[in-house]
Amino acid sequence: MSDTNLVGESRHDGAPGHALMESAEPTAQDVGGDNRGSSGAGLAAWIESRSGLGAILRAALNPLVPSTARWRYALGASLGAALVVEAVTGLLLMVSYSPSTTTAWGSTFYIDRVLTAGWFIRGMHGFGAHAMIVVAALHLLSVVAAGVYRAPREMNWWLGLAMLGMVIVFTLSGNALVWDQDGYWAWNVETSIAGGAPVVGPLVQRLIVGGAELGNGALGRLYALHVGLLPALVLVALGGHVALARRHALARPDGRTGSVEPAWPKQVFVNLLTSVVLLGIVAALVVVNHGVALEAPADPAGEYPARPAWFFLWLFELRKRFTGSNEVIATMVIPGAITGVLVLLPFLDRLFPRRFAHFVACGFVFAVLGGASYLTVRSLRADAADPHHRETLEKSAVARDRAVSLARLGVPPEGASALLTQDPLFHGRAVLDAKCLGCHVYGGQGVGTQTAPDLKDFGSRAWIRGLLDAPKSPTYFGKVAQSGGMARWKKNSKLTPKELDDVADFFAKYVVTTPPDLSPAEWLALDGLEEHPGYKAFNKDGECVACHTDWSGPSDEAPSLFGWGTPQWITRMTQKPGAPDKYGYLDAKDRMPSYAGQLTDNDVRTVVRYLKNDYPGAPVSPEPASDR
Amino acid sequence: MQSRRDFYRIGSYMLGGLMSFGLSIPGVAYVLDPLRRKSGSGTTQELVRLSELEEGVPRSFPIVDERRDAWVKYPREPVGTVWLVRQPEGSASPVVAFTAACPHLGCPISLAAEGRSFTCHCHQAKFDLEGKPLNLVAPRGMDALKVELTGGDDPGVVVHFQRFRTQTKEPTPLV
Repeated sequence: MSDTNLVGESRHDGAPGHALMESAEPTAQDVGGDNRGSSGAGLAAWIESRSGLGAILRAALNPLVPSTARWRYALGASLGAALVVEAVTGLLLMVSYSPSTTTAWGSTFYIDRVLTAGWFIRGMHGFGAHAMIVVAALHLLSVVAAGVYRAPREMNWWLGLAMLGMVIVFTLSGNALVWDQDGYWAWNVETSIAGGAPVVGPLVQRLIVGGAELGNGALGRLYALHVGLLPALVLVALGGHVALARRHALARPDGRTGSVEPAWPKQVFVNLLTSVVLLGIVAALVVVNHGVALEAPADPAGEYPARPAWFFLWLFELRKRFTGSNEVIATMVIPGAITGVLVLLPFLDRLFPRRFAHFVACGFVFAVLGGASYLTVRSLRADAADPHHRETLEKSAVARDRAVSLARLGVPPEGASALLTQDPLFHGRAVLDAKCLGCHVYGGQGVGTQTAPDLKDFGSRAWIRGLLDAPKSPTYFGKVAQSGGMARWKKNSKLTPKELDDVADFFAKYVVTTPPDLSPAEWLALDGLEEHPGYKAFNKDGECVACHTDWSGPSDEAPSLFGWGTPQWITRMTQKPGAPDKYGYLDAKDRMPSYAGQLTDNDVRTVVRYLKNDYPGAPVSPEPASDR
Repeated sequence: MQSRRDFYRIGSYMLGGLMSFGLSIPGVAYVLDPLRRKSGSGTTQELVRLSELEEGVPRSFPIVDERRDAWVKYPREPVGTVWLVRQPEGSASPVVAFTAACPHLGCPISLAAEGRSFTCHCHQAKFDLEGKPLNLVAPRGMDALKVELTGGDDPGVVVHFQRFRTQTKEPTPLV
């Protein structure tokens, strides 16, 4: 790089590169195609003579810039650096991300929690995008303050506004690609807002969504938009923006040109310093937060406290003032008006005297930013003060933590949404709470008045042993109507505690483990069953067998105990609790109601596994099944 | 003046380097992640009762196992195939087991038409019933797997299934 200041003519239309080119007259060596020299300098000369690459790079990377306008250029340049970071991290994410409703969340989880440095790459991508919006707003402010949106730079202003719009769409579409609760519901709301536009709304919504509902169609379109169309558009817009900026770099309103100098090294240094500071802040945010958040997998049926991205919270708050048919004012009219004024800003000069127009422009921008900041703070404080909102936030945190810990064991092929819907702890317990705990209790906790036994550890040896000791306890049949039979037995029973232990052992070893394909006769024929001391105690005169009779069918005093406590027995209890082999002997009003048709197969399966403590993270059963 | 220019120059190189390394180090680590992962050590399975195998008649059996594929866990399904050949009385082992993955480039090995040798349809590698190569396509013979018998009068055949690297002279387990 030459040290002398290559000024050349100062022209209004710039063309700064021209001045530099005058010093690089083609020499005979350049034109002649020199094959000599394997040293570095020889190689450089060879490349230069074949392609002119050096001259091209010098012109591209080292334009003339005004000696005084430092920081505005630096803001723009750091936006460019952030865009490069987004492109590189985006390409890296594409290596592992998979855009379908069954794989989007799982692949994002894999990137975020499994792949080496995946959380950092994804974090830079997400926080970087939000940082770009902040810096773009600062860039816009500085452009308005310096008045460089006016002639001859109007087109550049519009290109800049267009890129701001593209960055916003980048952020919204990128958030949706995760297909977690946050992304899914936010995109749901955003497409519904688009659908509310007059005339074309429903058509546009249908096209964006790729159908009637958010699903694979929407994800495909989002992905093509985010990694294909928008990058191409932004590249073209950025190319035009930089070219126009160079072209007008030296133009001033008064027609004169101040002192100029090559961008290298001072402006380049300032640009790099600003970029490094910006990216450093982003990296610090990424490290402190250990990456971007990942909510529970998208659940179209579930409840989620959806909120827009932080830079739209002010519109979210604004909409609270415009309800009903006025809502379109907040969603379309006001944002549209602000955009319109920004676009038409360069033409303000024609309406007003120069300085007044500039004052109005600055005032408008600051008013919008000030108002938006105020509304954002209001929205955040309103949410913080809302107990229902906090409650749903806590519930979604529980769902998220459970989904992530289950995902470490592997996401099922049906997709991440099955993680929670097939989880006994998450879904089974929810079904229990909603359908069963109105009468039953679990660990002493119920929802209504207790009229049925405690289901905690039902079928375990400890539950059985406790029943044989204290059947009148509220844990067992103390609160159940017409179920004093066990209490009556207990009063007259002559079984010793050791024999009761044997009975409990017998149930744990043979009864609760009955395979579903065995008939009672085949079960009785199992090795060692009829010799078990518990079986003998069961069959003693006046003891269990007196009411529970044999194992093959119903009695009129007690349920059949064949396969008691097995998954198939519990399932049958939910479907036909009033069957003759179950509690059909009770009066109709005292029987457990049937839940056939109210519970799906998945509901029943997850409840059964929950009761049996058969799920990842289950507490250890109080007494493991005995082999005695 | 010159020293300030130097400061800007050197500062620019350092800042540019900082930005590049700051992103490329995690980026490269991310892309090289597969080099860090272990792919699992195989599975042990009982395939068939010894009494059902005929001497000298090779039979193939699927290996059924859960499978991890990046973030997905597939439930038990066929993940490989094994050839079992019952050996004559008095042999060192009553059954030999081979993985059906060809040691050349990994295609599935099948039985030749006349049933007395193995052949691989991709590049026509041929092996005899003891797994020894009959032509020069494959670099080594079929990969034998460890076999055990369960106890009792009707023992079952238990195979330790694992995968091997292709294209090597010696069988090298894939980890």
